[in-house]
Amino acid sequence: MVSQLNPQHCGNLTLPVPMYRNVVNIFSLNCWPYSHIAASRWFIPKNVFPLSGSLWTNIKNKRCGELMPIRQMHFLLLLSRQGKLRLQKWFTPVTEREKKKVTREMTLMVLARPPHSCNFLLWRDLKIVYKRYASLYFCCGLEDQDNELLTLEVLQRYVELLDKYFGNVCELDIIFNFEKAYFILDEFLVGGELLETSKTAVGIAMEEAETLQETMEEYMSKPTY
Amino acid sequence: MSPSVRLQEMIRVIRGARTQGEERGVIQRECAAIRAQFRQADNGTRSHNLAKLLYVHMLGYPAHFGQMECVRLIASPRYNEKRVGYLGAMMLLDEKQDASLLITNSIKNDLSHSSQYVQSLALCTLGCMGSAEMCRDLAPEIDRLLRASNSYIKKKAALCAVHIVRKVPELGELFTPASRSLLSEKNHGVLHGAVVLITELCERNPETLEQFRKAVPELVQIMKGLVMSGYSPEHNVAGISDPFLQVRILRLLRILGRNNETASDAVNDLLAQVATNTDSSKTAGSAVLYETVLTVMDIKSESGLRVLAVNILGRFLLNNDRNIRYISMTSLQKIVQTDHNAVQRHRGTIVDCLKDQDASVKRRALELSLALVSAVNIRSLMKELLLFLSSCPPELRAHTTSGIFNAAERYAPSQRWHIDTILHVLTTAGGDVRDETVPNLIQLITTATELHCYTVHKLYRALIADISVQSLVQVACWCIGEYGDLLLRGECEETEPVQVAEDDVLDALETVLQSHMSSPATRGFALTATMKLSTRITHNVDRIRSIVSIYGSCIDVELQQRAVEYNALFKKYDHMRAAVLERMPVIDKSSPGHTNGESAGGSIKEMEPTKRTQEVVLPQEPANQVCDLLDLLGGSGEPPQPSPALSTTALGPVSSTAGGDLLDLLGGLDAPLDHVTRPGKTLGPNYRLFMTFVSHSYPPQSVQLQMKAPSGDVIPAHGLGQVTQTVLLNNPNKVSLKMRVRVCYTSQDFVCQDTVQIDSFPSPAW
Repeated sequence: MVSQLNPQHCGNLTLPVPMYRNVVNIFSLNCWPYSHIAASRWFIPKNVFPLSGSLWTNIKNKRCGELMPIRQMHFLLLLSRQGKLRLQKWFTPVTEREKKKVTREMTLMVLARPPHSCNFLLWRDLKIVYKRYASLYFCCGLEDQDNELLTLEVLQRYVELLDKYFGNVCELDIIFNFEKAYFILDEFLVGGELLETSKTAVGIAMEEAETLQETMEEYMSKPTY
Repeated sequence: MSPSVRLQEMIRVIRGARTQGEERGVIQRECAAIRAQFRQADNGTRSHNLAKLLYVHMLGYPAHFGQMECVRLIASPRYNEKRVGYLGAMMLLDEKQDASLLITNSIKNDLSHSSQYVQSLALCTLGCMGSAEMCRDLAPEIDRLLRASNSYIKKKAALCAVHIVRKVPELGELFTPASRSLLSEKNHGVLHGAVVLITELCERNPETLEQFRKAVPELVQIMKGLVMSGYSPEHNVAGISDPFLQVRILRLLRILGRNNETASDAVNDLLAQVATNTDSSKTAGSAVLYETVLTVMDIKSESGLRVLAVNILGRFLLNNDRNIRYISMTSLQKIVQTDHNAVQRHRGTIVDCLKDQDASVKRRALELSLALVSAVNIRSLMKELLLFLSSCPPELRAHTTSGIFNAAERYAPSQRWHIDTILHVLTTAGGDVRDETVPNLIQLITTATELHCYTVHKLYRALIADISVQSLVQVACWCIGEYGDLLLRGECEETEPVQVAEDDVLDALETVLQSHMSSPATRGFALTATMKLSTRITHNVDRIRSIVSIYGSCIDVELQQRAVEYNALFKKYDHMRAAVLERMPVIDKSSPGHTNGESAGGSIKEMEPTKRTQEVVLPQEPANQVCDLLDLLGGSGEPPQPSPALSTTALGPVSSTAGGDLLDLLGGLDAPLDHVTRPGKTLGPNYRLFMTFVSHSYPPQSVQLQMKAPSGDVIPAHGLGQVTQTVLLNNPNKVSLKMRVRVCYTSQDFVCQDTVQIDSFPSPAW
């Protein structure tokens, strides 16, 4: 049962359900099993990127000639239950077309998972870790070497940060304050890696940045005499 | 907050649109307004417009005209504008856009800004979307920030450096000194960034790896501190103190300890401590334990530790949480080759996971089960796998069938079991098997000579039950064609015999021929099988004749060709039919004829009837000739060297070579080479010959023989020519030689053999 992506559903179906109550609820799993899409080569054609800096180039280990994989998070997507994209963060250079394609495929795959199924999927040659919080699905695309259980913890921590900032966060908060969600994400993940492991530091940084912003705005809006 | 209202207002309007068209209209209007605003001079609303544009972009609409605005906003002195500008840069610009280069200068300036938040914006943007050129330009700045700034900036600089190293690996050397000193930081964020950076550097450069091996004790200390520390509200997750940092340190220790005894030794104690002290009731603890297990498996740890790790994985397997079961199976898959016995202990649980509802868990369980198959457990495990096959999701079927076939081939306890297993798979999932299953199965059946009766009975039953599975039908047709006489005989020890009449068998084959479910290849099999039955049944040969002649005008060219040839076999070459259609020899797996079942069964359908007869006759020769020739050539009980495998599909003359070296005869003397000329066959008028010289001689080891190709393969009639084949003999021991030569030839459709004995060789030869 694939949820319809008809934008006629974009109206008033999002209820302000707080998506994070306490630690226990987070671990309820609500997804359908879905047939795997057979893994195939990662979709980025090599000729799109300059060879020198390409993230997709495997670096040969000078000593033993092995190929070193590049391990990082490839993307983080927040999808609503109706299939709308609420937040997207791409940690590798991807064309707009590919972004749309990946988002579509993620939507199809993740939204079709039944509840209580495994949170890990294999897709092309990436691992997909997803977690559902109320009406939002958080999906991460990871390299093969990454620790999936830890990524679940990363997603959990991000939701906690959002909750602390917005106070009982729900999907509407993220829709109407998407730029804040991005700012919080940027204080938490950089380049696909975790930036801050402390629960409080991100909140403090956001507060100070807001203060700076308000100070500047107040300053700018003061009439000059 | 008044400034954002306009953005939120727009979002509300867009969400209120009831149709796609309405939404598009709203967005177009807004975008036009935004574009107009961008063109105007600076008013206080630029950041809000860009924010609106970013929202529109997230909905999927084009927003490329905002790129230059991003560049402008980044250069603005106001913090809120910078903030939105950098966000826009990360969303709209990537390294492939030209505009991305324009922000390099702004980033550079912002990296030295007085406010750390501006610096952090620049670092974050560079770390997310910096191109190689930008990275090269700004790397020295990043290095400076790594050394001398507060911890807030240091941690961002560390991750920015990680990105730079990924883009431009050569710059890794620049960051190595700074990263070493970062390990002594107390701030967890900085420490985490430092560990990530060191991991990246070590993975890319083996010299750096050597350098950082010295840091192992320091890392062990940090890790111990984390594990043994008390509750810290800031970093605690479900009882584990900073699991993120713990996992990263473990990963770094893994890389440092790989292939290195000293580093591995230093880490052993720590790993044991982590493994025993970590509470794995929640995901955080499991994540740390998982990483510990991976590390133990990868470095040169002591065996007790490895056992502990496998036990942890075993415990994970029994966990209720599906994720943890999935993880443990993934890890067991990695170690099943090296620690096979340890994993075998958990086979029962793994096989139970095959029945799990979740597709991901099933897939993992399947792969692991296939890896665990061994000679000991093949029967029980195969039962489980076959059960799984009947209920497995369609995307896993092909993998399952090929896995089952591989396992059966390697560990089959008996041929009957093997054939049964393959037949079971074909009946359950015949549509998902690979193409080479059919010839493999046919080859297997031919080798199991005592099971022919059993096999053909089983296949006949399967055929009349269902003809939709092409692979099964093909094999069944082949068997019925080949062993139809056993089927009709109606007796079988191994299984309940089917009492069939010839008509029934022919009915079944005809159904296959006529059914639209049958593929062209299958129909070819059925036609050939029908033809073969013409020599195995007694009463309904006319029926077969009529079937064959009907298909002589079939639209399918392949079938038509076969039918025409078989027709010819009935009409002109009826005397050869029995010989042509007799039992196939055992197909050798490595012979070139064994490319697919069709060609093995199809050797009968070669173009020239005469050449066919040669091929059919030849395989029987080696057995006959070995005994005859051996006792002549100084016969000393040497085991016969088997003749090279004769290809059953080879066209044209077959010449065998006994691989003797070309040596001078009678070393030293220049004796003339010994030419043995076979007497030509003189025949009466009107005989035209096709001739092949095939002589098998198996000299004892002291005599070496080399046969050259005959000078021709046709001897014209009336004694008008001759064919010479040269044989070189090397006889160093001067054994007295006699030679018997057998000549096979075909003369006007009669296969003849002639034997000539040569008792006396000219004496100068030795």
